[in-house]
Formats: sequence, structure tokens, C-alpha cells
Amino acid sequence: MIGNFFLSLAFVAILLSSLFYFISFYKKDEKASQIGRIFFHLFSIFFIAASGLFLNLILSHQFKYKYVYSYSSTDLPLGLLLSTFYAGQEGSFLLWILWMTLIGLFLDYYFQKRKEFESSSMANYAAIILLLVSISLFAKNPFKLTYEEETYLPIRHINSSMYNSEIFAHNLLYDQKSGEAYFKLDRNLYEILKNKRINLSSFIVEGRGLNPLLQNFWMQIHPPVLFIGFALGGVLFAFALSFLMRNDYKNMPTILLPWSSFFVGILGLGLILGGYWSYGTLGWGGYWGWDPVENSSLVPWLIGVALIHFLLLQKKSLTEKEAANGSYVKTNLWLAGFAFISILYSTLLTRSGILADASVHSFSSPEGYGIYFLSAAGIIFLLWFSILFLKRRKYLSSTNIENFSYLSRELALLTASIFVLFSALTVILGTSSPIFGISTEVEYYKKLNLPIAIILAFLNGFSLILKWKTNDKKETLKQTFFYSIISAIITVVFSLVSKVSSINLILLIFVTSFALIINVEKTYKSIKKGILKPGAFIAHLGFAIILFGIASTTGFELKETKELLKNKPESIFDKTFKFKEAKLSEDGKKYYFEIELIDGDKKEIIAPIMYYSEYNKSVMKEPYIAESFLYDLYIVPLYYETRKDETYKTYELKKGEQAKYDNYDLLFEGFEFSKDARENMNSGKDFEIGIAIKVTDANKKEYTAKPAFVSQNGKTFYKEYVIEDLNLKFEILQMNASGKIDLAVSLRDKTYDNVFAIEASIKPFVSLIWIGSVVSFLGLMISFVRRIKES
Amino acid sequence: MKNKYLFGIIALLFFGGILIYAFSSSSSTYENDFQKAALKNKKVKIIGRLDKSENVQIDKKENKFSFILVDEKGNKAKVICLGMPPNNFEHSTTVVATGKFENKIFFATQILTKCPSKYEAEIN
Repeated sequence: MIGNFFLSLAFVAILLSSLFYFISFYKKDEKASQIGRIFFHLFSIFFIAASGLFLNLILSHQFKYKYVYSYSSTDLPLGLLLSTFYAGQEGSFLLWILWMTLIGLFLDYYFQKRKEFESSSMANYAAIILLLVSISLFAKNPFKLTYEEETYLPIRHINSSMYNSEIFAHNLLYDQKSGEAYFKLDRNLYEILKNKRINLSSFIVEGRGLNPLLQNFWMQIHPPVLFIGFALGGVLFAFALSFLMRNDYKNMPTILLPWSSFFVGILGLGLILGGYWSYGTLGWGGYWGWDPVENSSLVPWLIGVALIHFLLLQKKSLTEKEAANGSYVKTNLWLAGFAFISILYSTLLTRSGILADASVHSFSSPEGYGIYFLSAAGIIFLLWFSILFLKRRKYLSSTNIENFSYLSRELALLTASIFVLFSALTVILGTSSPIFGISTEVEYYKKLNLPIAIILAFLNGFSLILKWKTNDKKETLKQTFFYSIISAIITVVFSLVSKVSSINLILLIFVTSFALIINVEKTYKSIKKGILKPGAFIAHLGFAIILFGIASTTGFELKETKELLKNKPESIFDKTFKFKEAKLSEDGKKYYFEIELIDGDKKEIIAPIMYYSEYNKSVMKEPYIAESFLYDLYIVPLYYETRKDETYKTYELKKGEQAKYDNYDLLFEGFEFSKDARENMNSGKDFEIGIAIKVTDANKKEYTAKPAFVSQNGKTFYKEYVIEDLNLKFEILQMNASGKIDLAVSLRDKTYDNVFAIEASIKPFVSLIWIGSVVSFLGLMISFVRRIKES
Repeated sequence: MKNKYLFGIIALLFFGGILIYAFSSSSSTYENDFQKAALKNKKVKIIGRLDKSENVQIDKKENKFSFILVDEKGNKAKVICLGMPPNNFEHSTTVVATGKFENKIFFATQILTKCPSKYEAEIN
């Protein structure tokens, strides 16, 4: 309850903060701005307090809170327990707001040197926070109690010393389908407990726990990073609105460039961390699956990338004409706006349940008015933006200037940015299509984005050959030709080695090599001028490396499915695989399927994982990945079963009947049932009924096999018999009263085979995707530092 | 200025054309009615529930599996899909299969499942 109290206070404080900042701006009242600032600080205190309380509920396992019950359990290690803070929607909104709060406090410091921007920016920034807080307070409340709605808890989550009491008899239910007992929790029960002075948190002793798919190291890192990106989107939007309110755009590039670089860097890092996670966890389709959830974070990133480039164009145009606002002001305003609107839209899309049938990620069906809140908020902000924009439209159009020749870095940047935006458009359209009852295949994204990637990779390199403004045609051609020759050599070598035949991929390899060489050279040259100079080149170099990695993994992947028999060596990709055994992990939760992998002289034990998840009611699979620079060996467990092998044959025999197994003649001679045994059987003591099978081999040598039916200590079973010399095993499957027997004969030790099936693949240069991402991220951070110094 | 608009229009036509082409050639519609879906001679997504009275048949040699899907109206369709059933297949409530009907058999290329959370299961 106290949590909601603080959340409500935070709501009021941020509302007043926004209001006073707006008053300050429109009434030109410096005092109001100070009050706004005080309320923002108050909000921060209240909200951080609410978050702290929420975290405390999780850490102290207060299962009376619905969120804590739904997403955590007592057996989680600390790191994962902390990560349940944002495992559900309610918590993830809290995290989003928390980042916005912290960034807001930094902005407060940032504006001390830029007073003129403060009230207009903070008014809008606080308004964005207000929207998120109201969702958290009214629609996705994290402090809901478990009993507020009728809930069924499995009996094992209830304190066993309590539920057996008479009063709870009608709360106990038995579900025949699942064979589980449930406990009905509702308001009435809460009243009963309250009267008996039983704390609900000591009554519910265990939670549902965290989805095993999320129980992963990266759960502790990927979502927080992504949400910093989302929060930074809010900063960009607030700034765009602020520029419109102030109707002064000259500072746009200097102010927005560092923030948009930071936004793109962090959001990109979040995306790639997600990719790395999904690559290591199965069923999510490698490092990128064009899944709606992935797509919806990709769109704001693409918009951010375009924004950086358009801002650069504006900056370049500004240096020429002092008075004007520069070119692409309108474009930049819209892009900064849409970076955030697209985040809202994607949140709406992925959390509303609209995509339930289209996404691999499981999302709850539409729930409550969270969706209406988000849609309303999105529309309000879009309207606010549009009104401001329309008001300034005439002024903005009159100050637009564009003057660059067709052979200039400006045009190359412009073209590249348009293609980036086109890519964003394809992704938005594809992801939104389920709304209209249409579903798009992964092919759709690939078909459209592969050519775009080729064009972008080319422009990535080509734009650097060009100088700003104008260029000499001959010189440009000469340089292009020079770099093309080197790239062509790389491409030819690469294609010959890998025997790839797809024209598109060869082209992609060619253009990425082209971009790689040029960026390496540029980075090298500019690093001499100062450590902060080559940020952009490094970022582009990283992008080219990523593309190279994507091209090689998609183009040259090798894949093979194989059934491994226990201890039988199988050869895949010149390596020997020998399945050893299925080992249960120490905590008894997962099975490790140990395979001996022999690669040349190297010999090691590798182990893909499978386990049954009670939470998901299904078998979970985790691949084994041997990572190296040149390629990853990726081994997916498919299934594990015990199977009869071919040497296993069954017979139905009557006394005196003959049969043939391989080269052996079999004769069922009869039963061996002694008098003693008969008496023992009648008196209920241990006994044995044997049968005799005469076996004659090709050399007429005779043996007798004596499998038996045994009763021991009240238990009955069939005892097998092995003829050591022949390595033959005999088992009785069934004995009939009529005197018939069902007999199984097989080679000893080979009666049953443990079959473990795997899909092995070689993914060349996956490492480049991760390396490229790190390089790119570093580049963007260098740019960020450089630009923030400039601003 | 004129050049700018000309450039814009050409770009718009170019991108629009590619977009529409790619969209129409690699998208499919959702069908709740198998009878209607069977008449369509193109890729569709059919939505139904798994017929649990029939076993899911897995052919490991051919690397495919088949099952019976039932739509809202009770129409049944046999679905054959390459590969192995997804993780949570047998417990699924709703199955979305992407593919095409050929002689009343649905050849699927992709299977998506939705599972009930056991806590949301109806309990009587």
C-alpha cells in the first residue's frame, strides 16, 4: 500500500513539475522554472522510493503481491531475482521510468550551462514521464495484491501447515485434467485470514518463478540496456518539442547529435545483446529472427541512424549560411519525434496481444486499459507535436536551403539516410500487418533488406571517398576504381573458398569489403589528428564488419542432422562425434547430453542441454556452441530416446516349435518348473519358472539358453539369459497360460540403443557480428563524447 | 525545387512498388475456416486446435510429423510439416500453421503454438 502511496505522490509531483515548467516557458517566469525543478527532484525521490520498495518486496519474497508471486520464486539466485524487477510488464514500465528519472536528473545538471533550453525541454520531458507514471499507477500497477482478483494457486505454493484447516475446505479444488490440486484465493479468503491474524505472505510461501527461457545471464543485462535506449528516445522527443516551442533551430545539430549518437549506441547495444542471447537460447531463430519484438526495437534504432545523418547535413549547411536554420530542419524534427513515437507504438503492439499469433515471444492477451492509455498518450503527443509543427511550418519552409552538387558527400548521406528510413518502413509495415489479419514471412524482410544492405554498404564506403560540397569526377572515379579492385580480389578469394553462388551475397561481400577497406584507412588517418576524431569512421567500420559477418553466416552456413547412437562414432564436417551419456546436472534440473568431440588431435566433451520445464510444461533445449573467430560450431539437441536396434527380434513359440535367428537354429524345448517351485508358488514363497531354448550354430554346435520368470519378495520379473560364447541374449517378453511364450533374441549389449539426435551447423564468421557491434558501439560512444564537448 | 519533387516522386514510386511487390509475394492471410482455406490456392495461415484424440505422428526417418487440426466449426484437416514438433506442441491450445492445402492435406512450412498458462486453465 505504501508503494502505491509513493507512486501517487510521484504522479502528483511530476504533473506539477511539468505544469510549472510550461508556465515558466510561456509566461517567461524564471521562478516557475525553479518550482518545476523542485517538483522534479521531489518526483525523483518519491519514484526512487517506490522502486526501492518494489525491489524490497521482490527480495523479501512478498508473494501477497501479484507481481512478486507471478514472476519470482525463492529458489532464484540473487542476480536473476533482481532481474524479476522487469520480467513482467508492470515492472518493465517501472524500469523505463526509473531510467528516465535518472537521465532527468542528469539533464537538470546539463541545463545549468544551457539555461535557455531548460523550461521548454523539461516541461515536455516531465510530460512524457507523467504519461508513463500514469500507466504504471492506473493501468499496470506493480503493487496489486494477489487476492484482488480470483486467483488459483497450485497447492504447493501454499504453506502446508495452514491449508489443511477445515475453513479452507471449499477453497481447495482438484483439476482432473492436470491432476493438480489448486487453492482458490479471493477477497473472502483474505478476510478469513485477516480475522485469524495470518499474514498473506506467510500463507503463500512460493511464487510461480521466472520463465526458464529468461533464466539466463543476459536477462540481467539486455533489458536494462534496452530500456535506457527507450528512455533516451524520450529525451530526443522532448528536445524536438522544445525546439518547436522556442522556434529556434540553429542549435539543433549541436544539441541533438550527442544525444542521438548515445541513443543509437545504447539501443543498438541492447538489440545486439538480445541477438547474442537468442543465439545462445534455442527456438528464437539464431541471432535475428525478424520477430515482432525484435523488429519493434529495430525501428527506433533505424530512425535514430537516419536522424544522425540528417543532423550532420543540417550542421554542414549551417556553416555556410550564418543566418538560416540550415537544411532538413523539418526532417530532423520529425525523425526525433518518430524515434519516440515508434517506441510507444512498438510497446503498444508487442504488449497488447495483437501479435499473439505472430510472435514467438509469448504475450498475454489484451489486458486492462493499458493499451488505451498508450494509444491515447501516443495520439496526444503526436497531436501536440503536429500543432507545434503546423504553427512553425511557414517559418521552417522559408528558411530551408539545399545546395550541394550531385557528386558530394551530402547527397551520398542523403541517399543512405533515405534507404535507412525505407528499411524502417518495411519493418513497420511487416510488423503491423497482423493488425490487418495478414501475416508476413521472414522472407519478406530478407528480400527487401538484403538489397538495402548492399546499397548501404556501398554508400558507407563511397561517401567517404567523396568530399563535402563538390568533387572532381576523375579523382572520385580513380579512387573508387582503386578500392573496387582490392574488394574484388577479396570477394573472388572468398567466393572460391566458400563456393557461394548467390549473386546477392557475392555483391554484399564485395560492397562490405569495399566499405571495410575505406573505413580502416580513414580511421587510421584520422586517429593521428586526435583520439576523438575517428568516432564516425569506427562506427561505420563496425557496421561493415557486422554486414560481412551476416553475409558469411547466411551464405556459407553448413547444416547436418544426425542420430548419434551411444558410443558409436559418427562423422560430421570432418569431426568425430561420439555420444557418451545423458547426465543430470548437480541441481537435478537439466540433462547434459555429453558428446565426445574429436577434431584432429583435439578431444573434448561437449554437452547440449535438454530439460523438462514445469513452468512451460514442455521440453526446453539449449544448444552447445563452440565459438571461435573463424566459425562457430552450433549443436542443437533434437530428441533423445531409447530405441530397439535391428539385431532385436521377437518370436512367438509353442513347445517344440523351431525358429531361426541369423545363422542359429532355435528350438523351444519346454518349461523347467520343478516341484519345489510349484509348491513355493502355491504357498506364496519365491519361485522361478525357466524355459529351455536349444541353440544350434552353423557348425552344429549346441547350446542351451535358460531365461526365466522369477518371483522374489512378492515382485515378479523376467530374468534374461546370455550365451557368452555366442554373445546372444534371450529374454522372455510374455508367458501365456496356454503354454505359448513371447521371446526376444538379440546381440548382447545391443538390445537397446540410446539415440541422441542433433543438428550440427558450422556458422562462419558469426564472431564478426559481435566484434562489429562492439566496434560500432565504441565508435558511437567516441562520437558522443566528441559531440557533447562541441555542444 | 522542381528537381526535388521529381526526385521525391520517382523515389516514392520505386520504393512503393518494391514494397507492394515484396509484401504481396511473401505474406499470407489468417484463416479460421479450413473449408475456405482449402479453396485458396495459395499460402495461408490456418488457426485451429490440436485434435488430442489422434496421436501426433512423428516420422524421424523422413524428418516430418503430422497431426490433425480442428477449426472453430469443427472441420478437421490433416497437417504435415517437415522437421520436429515445437517444444510445447502437445500441450498447445491454439496452433497456427503456415502452408498450403493440397488435396485436402495441409502441407505446413511453419508451426506456431500458443500454450495456456496452467494458472489460467479453466478449473471446474
